[in-house]
Order: sequence, then C-alpha cells, then structure tokens
Amino acid sequence: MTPMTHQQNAQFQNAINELAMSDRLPDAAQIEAAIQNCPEFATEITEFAIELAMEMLFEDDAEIAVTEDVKGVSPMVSRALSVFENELFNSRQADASSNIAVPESKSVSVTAQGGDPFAKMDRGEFLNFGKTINANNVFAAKVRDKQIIGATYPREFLKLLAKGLRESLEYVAEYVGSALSPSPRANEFFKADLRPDQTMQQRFEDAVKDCGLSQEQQCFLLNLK
Amino acid sequence: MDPFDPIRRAAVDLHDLTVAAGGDPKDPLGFVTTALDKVKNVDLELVWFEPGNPGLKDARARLDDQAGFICCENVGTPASRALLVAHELGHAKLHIGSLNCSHADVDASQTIEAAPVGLQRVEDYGVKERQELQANVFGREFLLPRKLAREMFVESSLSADAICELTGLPLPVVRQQLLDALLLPEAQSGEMFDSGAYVPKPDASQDRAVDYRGSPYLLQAGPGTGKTRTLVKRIVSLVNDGVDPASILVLTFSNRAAGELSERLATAIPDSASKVWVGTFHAFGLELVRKHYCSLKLPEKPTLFDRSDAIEVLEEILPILPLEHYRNLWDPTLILRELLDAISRAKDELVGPMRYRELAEAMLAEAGSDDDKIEAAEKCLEVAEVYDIYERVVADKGAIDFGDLIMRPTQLLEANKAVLTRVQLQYRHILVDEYQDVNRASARMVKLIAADAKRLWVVGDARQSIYRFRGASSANMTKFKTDYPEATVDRLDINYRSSQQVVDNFVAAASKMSASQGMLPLTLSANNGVGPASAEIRRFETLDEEIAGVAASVSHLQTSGVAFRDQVVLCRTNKRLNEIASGLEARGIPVLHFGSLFERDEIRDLLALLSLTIDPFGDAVVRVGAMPRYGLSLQDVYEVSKTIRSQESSFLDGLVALRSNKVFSVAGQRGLGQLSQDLREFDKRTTAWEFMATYLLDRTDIARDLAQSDTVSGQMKGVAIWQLMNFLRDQPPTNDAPPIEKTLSRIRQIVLLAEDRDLRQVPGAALHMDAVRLMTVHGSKGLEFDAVHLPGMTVSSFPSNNRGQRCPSPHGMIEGSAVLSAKEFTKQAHATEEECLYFVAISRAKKHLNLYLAKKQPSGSNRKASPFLDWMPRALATEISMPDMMSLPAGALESRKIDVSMPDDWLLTDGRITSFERCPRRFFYTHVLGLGSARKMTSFSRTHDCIYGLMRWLRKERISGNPTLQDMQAKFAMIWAERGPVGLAFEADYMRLADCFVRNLQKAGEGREFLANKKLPIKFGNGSVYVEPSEIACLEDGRISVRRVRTGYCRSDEYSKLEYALYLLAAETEFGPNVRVEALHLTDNQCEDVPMTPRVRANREKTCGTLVGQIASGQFPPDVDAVSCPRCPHFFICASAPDGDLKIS
Repeated sequence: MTPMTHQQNAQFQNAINELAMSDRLPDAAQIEAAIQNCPEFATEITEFAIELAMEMLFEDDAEIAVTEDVKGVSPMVSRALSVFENELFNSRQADASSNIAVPESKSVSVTAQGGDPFAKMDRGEFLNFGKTINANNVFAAKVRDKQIIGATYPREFLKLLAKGLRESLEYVAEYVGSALSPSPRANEFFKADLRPDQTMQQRFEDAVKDCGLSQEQQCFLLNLK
Repeated sequence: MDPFDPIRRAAVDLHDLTVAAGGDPKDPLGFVTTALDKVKNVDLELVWFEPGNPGLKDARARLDDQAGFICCENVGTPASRALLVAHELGHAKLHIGSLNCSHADVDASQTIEAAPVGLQRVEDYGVKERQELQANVFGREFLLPRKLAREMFVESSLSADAICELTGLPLPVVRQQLLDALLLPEAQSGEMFDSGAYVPKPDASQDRAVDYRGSPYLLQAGPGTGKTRTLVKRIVSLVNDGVDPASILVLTFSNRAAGELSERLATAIPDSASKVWVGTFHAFGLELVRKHYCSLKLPEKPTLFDRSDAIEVLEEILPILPLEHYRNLWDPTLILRELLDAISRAKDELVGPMRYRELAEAMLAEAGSDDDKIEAAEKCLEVAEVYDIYERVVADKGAIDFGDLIMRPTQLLEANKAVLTRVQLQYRHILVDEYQDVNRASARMVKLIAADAKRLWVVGDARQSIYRFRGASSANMTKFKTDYPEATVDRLDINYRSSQQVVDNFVAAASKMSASQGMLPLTLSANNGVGPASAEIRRFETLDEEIAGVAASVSHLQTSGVAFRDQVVLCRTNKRLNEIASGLEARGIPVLHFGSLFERDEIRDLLALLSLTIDPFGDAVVRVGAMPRYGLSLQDVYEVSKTIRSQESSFLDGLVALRSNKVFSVAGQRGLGQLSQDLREFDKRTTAWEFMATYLLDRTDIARDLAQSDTVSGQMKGVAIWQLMNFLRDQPPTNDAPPIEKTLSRIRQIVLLAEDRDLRQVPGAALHMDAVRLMTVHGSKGLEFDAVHLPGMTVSSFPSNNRGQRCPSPHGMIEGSAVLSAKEFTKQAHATEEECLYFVAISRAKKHLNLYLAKKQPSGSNRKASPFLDWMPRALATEISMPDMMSLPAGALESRKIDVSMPDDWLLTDGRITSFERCPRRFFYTHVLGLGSARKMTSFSRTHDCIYGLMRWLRKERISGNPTLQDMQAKFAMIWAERGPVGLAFEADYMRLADCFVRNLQKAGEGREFLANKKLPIKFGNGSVYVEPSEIACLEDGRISVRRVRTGYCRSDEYSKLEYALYLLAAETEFGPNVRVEALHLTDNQCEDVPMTPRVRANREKTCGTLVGQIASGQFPPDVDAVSCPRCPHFFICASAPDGDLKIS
C-alpha cells in the first residue's frame, strides 16, 4: 500500500497554487504543465482549472468591481490561496500529530483532493484488508469509497481500520471524515454524461446490515464502541 | 472479421464452463449465480442492493474490479437481473478497471450494428459506448448462446415466444439473439481477434509524426501508409508521456473510422482508451448541443431531424414558402430536396439565413441589367427566404438537423467564452483524422477548440478528398500553413498495402491531379516490393461484354489463388454495380452485394406484407401471394383484388372471409388461410419492428429456412433481413401517422433522397463470406483488396458528367466561389473530385489492378476511353488483346412471360400503350390487374384531373350545344369542390392556373363543330391500339380535325412522343389523308398541327408494333428509375407476381 506521499501532496498543491496565482484565465498549456508534475491528479487539476476559469469569467461578466489588495492579488486568487494555506496548515498539523502519536507510520495529510490509501492495492491486498477489518469486500469498498458517514464509525472500528491500513488512527479518522471526492476513483469508468454518484452515504449500522456480511461479522461490527 | 466474434467466443466459453459446473441455461439467474460461485476463473462475488443504496452509486449495476465483486440493483424479474449480472461479467472478462453501468448502458437487446441512416448516423462510437455494447453482446451470448438459440429454434422448433417462456428472458433479447443466430452467417472457425491488434512497425516517417510536439502539425498520409496506425501510435505516445487521456479529443468523419480507432485504442492502451474522446464531428457536436442546450435555446433533449424528417417539415410549410423560380407546380415537393441541400451547404459554411440573404442581395446589386445574373441572384434570395422560414419552424419544433450539429456548436463556441474555455481546457490535445474532408464549419470548430493549436495534430490526404458534395474542402489541407502559421507539414513515406507496380501507378496519377497543388509531392516506396502483375487494361465492344470480361478475370484470379473475398469490383454508380452483380451471379460467381436494400426481393416481400396491414385494398397480395408460403396463383390474386374492391371491408378485415371463397383455387384458399393466420392480431398500431419480429420468429419458418441456407446468395438474404431489422428499430420522429405507414413512407423518402447509400454496405458480420465484393468507389475508401476490378473506364462514366446544381450557392459563400462563377466553380470542383475518386479506386489494390472499358453504349453510340487511362505510364500498364469473356449459361437472365387473356371489351388504348412504354410492369399492375387506385394525389395531379373531368363533360355538351365560358366555369367549380386540391398548398395558384385552362379550352373550341367522340383503331400484327382522341371536330373549311388536348406545356421533344404518331396513324386510317391532326397545350395556349417527319413516324409505328407484340406475348419487365419508382404506387410490390396464367373477366 502506498498512500500519497508528501512529495505528491506538495506537487499537487503547488500545481493548484500556480494555477490560482497566475492571475489570468488558465489555459491548456498551464494545465498540461501542472499535470506533467502530478499526472495522478489530472482530473482534479483539470476540473479546478475549469472552475477557476468559470469563476473568473463570470466575475468579469457580472462586472463585479475587483478590489485588489496591496500586492495586486484578486479576491478570486486570494480565496484560492486561502484554500491552499488551510491545506498547508492541515498538512503541518497532521505531520506534527503523526510524528508524535504514531512515529512508525507514514505521516501524511489526507485531503479531499487526494490521499487515497487504497489507490495501489490489488485485488488480493484489498480482500486481505477486508478480512483484517472482519468484514467482506463489499463493506470494505464502502469504507474505501467513503460511503459511510464518518461520524457514525465506532472508534474501535477506526482502530481496526488503522491496523488494516497500517496507518495512524488520526490518518484513518481524517480519511473517513474528509469530504467525498467529486471525482470517481482512478480506474473507474463511466460515460461522461453519466458520472457515478459519489455523494450518497449511509450510516455505519446500515452499511453493516446491507453488505451481505455474515451474522457473526454483523454482530462483531455492531458491538464495536 | 467481425470484431464481435472474439467477444461471443469468450461468452460461449464461460457459458460452457457454467453448464459443466451444473448451471441450467433455462434458469438465467441460477445460471449467473453458478458462474460466479462455481466457475474457477471468474473470481468475483455477487451482491444485490436495493435501488438507492450508496454502493450502487446511482448505477444499475457495477463491477468493482479492485474489490472483486459485481453489485446490481435488486429489482425486476429474475431473468432481467441475470442480464445485469451477465453484462457486468462481460466487463470483467473483456475490459479493464471498474465500471458503473446506467440504465442506458444495459440493454441486452442492442444490435451489434445500428443501421447507418438517420439518427443512428450520429451514434456515439466512443470507447466507452463500444465497451457497453460489447458487454451487452457478451451478456446475451453468455445466457443464450446463438448456438443454443438456433438449436431451440431450428431443431426443437420453438418460437421466440416459447424460448422466452422457457428461459424467462425478455422477448426483445431473445428476438435479437435469434436474429443474430439465424440471419448472420456463422463466423469462420480459427479466426483470431488480432486484426486490429496494435503492432507498431519501425517507420521513421511515422515516428517523426508520432513524436512531434510543440506546434500545429499536418501529416500528409498517402494511401496505405498506415495513417490510422500512426494516429493510434500518436495517442499512445501522448499517454505514455503523461498526457491525461481525458484531455485527448480525436475527431473523425465516419462512424467506421471512429469504431476502428476505438477498437485499436482499446487494444493498445486498455486502461486509458475509454477516457479518450473518439467520435465523429457530428457526435461531438451533438454532445456539445446536449450539454449546452440552454445556451443554444433548445430543449433539454432536442429532436434530431434527418433529411427525410427535414423534407417532411418543408412539405408541411410548402404553402407559405415564397417560391417563384423554384416553384414546380407539377410536383412542388420535387425541389425540396435541392433546397434542403442548399441550406445544408450553407450550414457547412457557417452561413445562417441572414448572411445568406446578404450574399444574395449583394449578387442582385452586382447583377446590373444582366438577366441571367438577376435570375441567379433572385434564386439565391428565394433560398434565403426558405432557409429563414425553415429555421424558424425547426426551432419551433425544438429540433435541430444534421447541419446544425456542427454549425450551432461552432457558433456557440464563437459567441460564448465560458463554453469555449471549458471545452478548450478539457480537450487540450486535438487530433483530426481525414482532415481533407473537413468543411468550413468543422475547420472553424477545430481552430476554436485548439486555441493556440500547439497540440493540434491532423492527418489527411487531399488527393483522397471525395466528399465535396457535403462541403468537404481539401483546401483546408493546402492552407493549413496559412491557418496555422507555425505549423509543420510532413508526410508518410512507406506504402504497406500495394505492390510496387500499383504504387507507381497511383503516384504517377498524383502528379496529374489538381488536388496535388499545394501538397508535398507524393513519393512512396512500396514495402511489399514488386507484385505479380502490372495493371491490365481490357477493352470490349459492349457493356454486356464488359461484364463477361470482368467475370472472366475474377474467375481467372480465383483459380490462380486470389479468393473471391479478396477481390472487389468498383463502379461509379449503383446502377452499373447492380448490372455487374447480376451478370456475375448469373455466371455462378458469388457476390457480396446488397444493392439497394429496399429493392431486394426478400426485403420487398416483407415490405409488401407490412403494407397489407395499412392498404385497405391489399394490393400487395400480388407480391405476398407469390411467396412460396402462400402459393396463390396469379388468377387468385386477381380475384382477391377484385373481391376486396367490391366489398365494404378492408383487406385485413375481409381476409378471414376470403379463405373460404370458392372463387379461389384450392391452393389459393389454403394460402389465404395461412396469410390470415400469419397476419392475425396485427393492426394499424403495430410497429414495423414488432410486426416483422413476430412474423419472422413466431409465425413463419422464413428465418428457420434462411438459417439453413448454405449458398452465399441465400445467406445474403438473411443478412439483408437482419439489416432491415436494424433499420426498423428506429422510428422517425415526425408526424403521428400509424407506425407502419410512417415506416413505409420513410422508406420511399429515403430511396427518393438516395439516403440509403450507407444501407447498401454489407454489415461487418457478413464480410468473411467468400464472395466478390461490389461497391461504389465512394464506399471503398479506407479499404483494400488483393485485386481491384475497375470497369467503366470511359468518358462520361469515369469521370462522370457534371450534373450541376439546381440551387447554386450565392457568390462568396463557398471559399473560392467569389472568383469563379457558380457554374464554373461547381464544374471545377466536380472535375477535381472525379480525379480523386480515380486515385482512391486504383490505390485500393494490393496486387492486381484490372481496368475495363466498353466501346459502345446501349444507345449504340461510341464512347471514348477515359482520360485517366492516359495518366497511366505505358510501362506500368498492359493492354490485354482479345480479353477473355465468360459467357452466360443458357437461359440465364431470361424474363418470365405471363399469359394474359383479356376480355373482348378490354381495349389497348393510346393511354395504356404509352403507360406500357414508360414502364411495362407498372402497366401490368395498373391496367391489367387493376391495382394502384390508392395512389398519392398531388395538388398538381388533382388540378389536372379536374380539367380532364371538365373535358369529358365538354365532349358530351358540345355535341348537343355550345356551352359558354360561364357554363364551363360553373361546371368546373363543381368538379373542383369535389376533387380539387381544396385547402392544400398553393390552392389559389392552382385555381388560377385551372381558370386559365378553362378559358383557353373555351377559346380553342371557337369556330369548330364538335363531333361525337369515338375510339379510332390502328391494327398491328399482334393486335390493335385504340386512340381515344380528346376532340374530333369539323373545321370551318370542312376538314376533320382530330385534336389532342393536354394541360401542360408543349415541350421541345413533344412531337417525338409515341402518342402523336398514334394520333396520326389512327386519324388517317379513319378519316383519310386529308385529316388535320392537331395538338393543344393549355398552359402555353398553343394549338398547332402535329409535325412529324415520315422517318420519325415510321420509327414510332415500328416501336408501337413492338410494344403491342410484347403485351401480347406477356412481357412486362420493370423499367427501374430512381425518381419515379419510389413514387410509384407499386413500389413495394414490384416486380413480383405469382405463377400461372391470368384471365381477366
């Protein structure tokens, strides 16, 4: 298992930042350059660039008075910067806490845009992971796809999850609690106009009941505190 | 090979393993469960979710590749749920990654090849759509393999309904699988799915093109140089460089090219291919329209009109179209096709109605006092007006047409920066295939999306630009450097297809072509080296001999090792293709040639059956009765027609009673009983597809018999019906007529508009049959064959004559047209296109290139050799002296004679014999059998019928008195109210015209004493013809006048018509040489003596004698004509008739 590395995270955030900071309508060349550094985030970077462009265009269209700060940065870019700085802060916090709490594990911030601890698992590894959390692959897939509301996970299950993923508790807590990715997973195919709905979620208890788990597994999971 | 063969094989393998594991195909849900639980290499779990469960992600079914399970929604019948699982199993076996399948994706009844007409032409051929189709075919084949379906249907004699009952599978799925199993030829064993495999070969010129980065790039790719391979390599290279596959947009011009690219990409980069957008310009345009319908002021799902729908719209608004120059009162709808072409061309050039009008007005301003120029400008203004009204009506209907699919999105991209930016940022690498075929609108669209164009890569060959009629302009190739000043232009250097001799030949031709101007010189080396033969030229005396020569060459090559399937005959016209196909078949050479789908015998049989459900007189029984299943005699069908016409009920309602009518033969009664059974429960609400599927699969053995055919021609019948079924799946969007009526009328329209071009192509699933391919040069583009036979190498044939344009574009609309006159421009474009067609034709050959020409045409006139033959260097062509010819077997191509016994009071009148002259078969149906009363009346024909009604009345009135103009007008008003085009388009115009006729008629009667009319006989060797003169009168000088009165104009060739010779002969026989034979034409109010030289008269007399002889000997062959046939009331019947003699009572 290889979750997103520090370097990848930084490259991705740099890419987003560069697009936001350029203070002009993004163009294809910029996106290409950004993706060249972190190709695994091609979809996210493209979507960010398009959204950024739309926002800039619509602001222009609406003829909103653009108030420039002393550095000459537009509010749009300021917002993007602010997003980035928050991410950076989260990242540093995560670094700090993981360094203290679980020194042996990989210290990384899990953000809405990245940090998929399942990304590189093959099917065998994934099935093993399911077993380690005393569930089946269907339930494991719901955990992977963040289809279970983060707040409904029992803490003991999160510990189990951390063990299964060989990550820190904070890491998995952040993963399951982070925003749902609007984008499908890599290697998940669909028609352009029929994008899978990534936003549907259910409670932990409900997921335990409808994933075809054995009675024994259900009992075990439902009894976790 | 059929790309679906390996998919079906994979499905059958899994089916067999599942059966071995204890699965029962009669329990589909149990069967898929067994596959998942017990078959070793499946390795997937199955989960059922209630709809709405997050695990489904709003899909119907999902394959989670990483987690190793399939999840499906837990709704529907067990069999429909089994189909969902089978679909996902298809993905698991065939594709990479996880897939989410929506309602639209899972349709196990989907055909492997949608009929290429109308809406289906814009079918999305992207990788993902192909994958869903493949999964659907896999699922169907896994649950009900064709072999099993065939066994159940053929050997166990189960109907489709019975198979549904047995398996629980939905009827549409069973039907489609049966159609595939029974009508398509079996795949050849041992074929491997490697024809589209991605095997890069070293080629420096290809590598240069693949690796090029940083500026716009145009690749000139001559024939056989691996254009598609290079394109695929380019995409692979981009992906390997880290380019996001979802940012790659590949635009093609044909579904075939898009499909091939998708297949190859799926093999080359399986995990990225589905993210690359591959499709036609029209499909891409449709996607933009659907995404941005609001900005385009369209409904969410706009209706897409094909040409026949658009013609229907124009027909609807005909009354408000301000036509003067383009008014055709004989049939106002005739010009609509040309008007629509003009509108479509305008859209190709991004010219809307307003701009069109501006250009036309500018023409008018420049015309000065030049009448020709004024007329040309006024015509353009008329088109502008029609265009404007048409656009408004189409918009009101919330629809768009094909031209809009490029123009509207392009205009949107130009006008809406947000949409443009979104598209530019999404698609950052643009690749265009067949760039020589882009029109101005497509070129503009590409330029807009490509932005700085640094990642624009296009490939094409101006010498293969053969679609100028639809706006393609190879000028886009030559001015690429102007459009993109930083562009690099390069070419491919190696031909992988042809022998050195063939390559040298088309390279020599290239140097002579106008299309080579501005292109890099064509220099190619032949990878295959020297071939077995140089090009061969064979000259013949007649066209029949030419066919015999082609047959001899085909046969000779076949015996020397070139299989029939590796040979092709290419022609410029479908007419000649049909003649050659018949000639080859008659000589026992198997051919893979559809011809016009709707004119094939087995298809006409089915269409005739369809028409029985809507025609109250059931005229089609004349064709249906001839089908072996019913076995009616000719006498029987005559009696049926007579009986139905004498009773109140419609054919369908009266059919049950007919079968016990003793007037029919015993076999006839049995046949009618069978027909009654076969047509039970069908009514006007039945759709054509439903009718046909039920008829073929549940009611009759037709499909069963076809499935057991072992001849190429028998199998081709099955393939044709399969193609028809694909066509019938789609219902046209306009009007509310009963579905079958709508379908039949659409077919007539499609044939009339020649929109059936793509339906003539044999489907991929049948291409492996060992038979000679026949196709037009247009249809051969992109294909290759060991041997190419190219007949018709004469002037006026290849190059063909330029027919000009009925509605030329305004000056300046088309690039280059401002310099030349519209006529000159069209002429030049035509000449260039013919050169390109020749280049395409000869470059299809891999080893053998045979050219043929006949000296004499059917008229007896001589034709010179095609100038293209002079392009062939002497050293590269061999003249074959005394070329071989394969003679026809005795009795081949002999037409059937019908022994007709007519009653004594049946007379062969002048009207009837001229009808026979136009089309003997139509004469037979109309005047012998008495069919066709349900003809479609136009306003024009109604008007003229009213005038002829008045003339009949006048004949009587004028003998007893002298009716005044007022009398005539009063009578005419009564006839008009009863039979005129009241309330129809242009009624007032027709009324004015008719009033003019009435006045002219009245005036032309002055000074004449009208005599009783009588039939004037002329005797010929085999019978007599009776002339029914319009008028017989005594003139003031005492001479007798026999006058023919017609409503139309006196045409330049008017008096060479047979009917005038008949008038002369009959009048002189009756009244002696002093008689005056006159002709009155009411439209131009011209009355004159009929002039006819003795020679012409003698010729026409001889012709008439021959025609009478043909009628007497029962020869009624059809005279096939592209314009009149689709309008003929007997279109769906022709040219069939049951066996037996006929006695008319």
